[in-house]
Amino acid sequence: MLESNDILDDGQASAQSGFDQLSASRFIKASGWMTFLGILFYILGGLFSLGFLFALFISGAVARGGGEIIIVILFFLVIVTATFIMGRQFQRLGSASKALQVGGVNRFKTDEICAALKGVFMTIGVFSLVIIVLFLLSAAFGGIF
Amino acid sequence: MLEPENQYSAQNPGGFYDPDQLTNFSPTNRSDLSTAGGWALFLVILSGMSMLFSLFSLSMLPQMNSDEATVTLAVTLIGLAINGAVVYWYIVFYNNAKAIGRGSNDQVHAQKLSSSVLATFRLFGILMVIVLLFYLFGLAFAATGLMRIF
Repeated sequence: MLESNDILDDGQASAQSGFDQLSASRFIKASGWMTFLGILFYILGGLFSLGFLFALFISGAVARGGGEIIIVILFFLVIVTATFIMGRQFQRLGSASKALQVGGVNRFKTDEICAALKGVFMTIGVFSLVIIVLFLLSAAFGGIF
Repeated sequence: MLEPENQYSAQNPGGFYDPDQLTNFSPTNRSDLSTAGGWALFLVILSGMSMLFSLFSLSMLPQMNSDEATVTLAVTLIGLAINGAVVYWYIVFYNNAKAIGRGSNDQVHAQKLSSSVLATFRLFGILMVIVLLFYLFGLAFAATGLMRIF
């Protein structure tokens, strides 16, 4: 079964695309770095999770219990989730840009790249906000951390 | 809604219609890029604030000894240079994403946008490689130190 991308012939594809060939070649060049960043954030998320679990159980914090441990768990859950979402968005943009190599630019690839660009910049912004809020919270409740 | 030819004429009085130089972004694409541009502006503000904090750290230089002052100065200047480059490319992205979001069909905006995306992600990637290398060197030195202790 043909994908909807394949149904477009060359004329339709170029007529419906938002980016020209020069822009497409730049996106293709950037796709490697995007994918690299995506994989890196996935690995960072995994390392954060493992390090957190290791620290939690080795330090005996779980055994001690108390209200502080809930805050620490929430803190790390937010960081780990945000890191994985960053990885997903970078990898999505990388895949969308890499897809331009096959068959050039068309409407569907343009849609995917624009949506992925929005996702990446929004995620970096929200991630920065989360870090700032956590930093302010940890400064305010310094004793806890 | 104006036809592409008329839109181009409205934006480029005296210019001629060249279909190869026009974009054909859908309203959804324009909305997405406009939102991305808005977040890029927010990141410009954050990076600008972090540059200001870096400058404040320079005010501590007179209280440091010469070695500490040299390291602090070098790290701050490198940080400022990297932050400056990131801010520049964010601003380029913001300008062109917002221009496309406002309905411009000029292909130059799409080309500048793609070049800013390439520059930003290449910079991030190279930075991450440098950070990873420093981290690995740090681990190697820590391991060497531990081996000496035991």
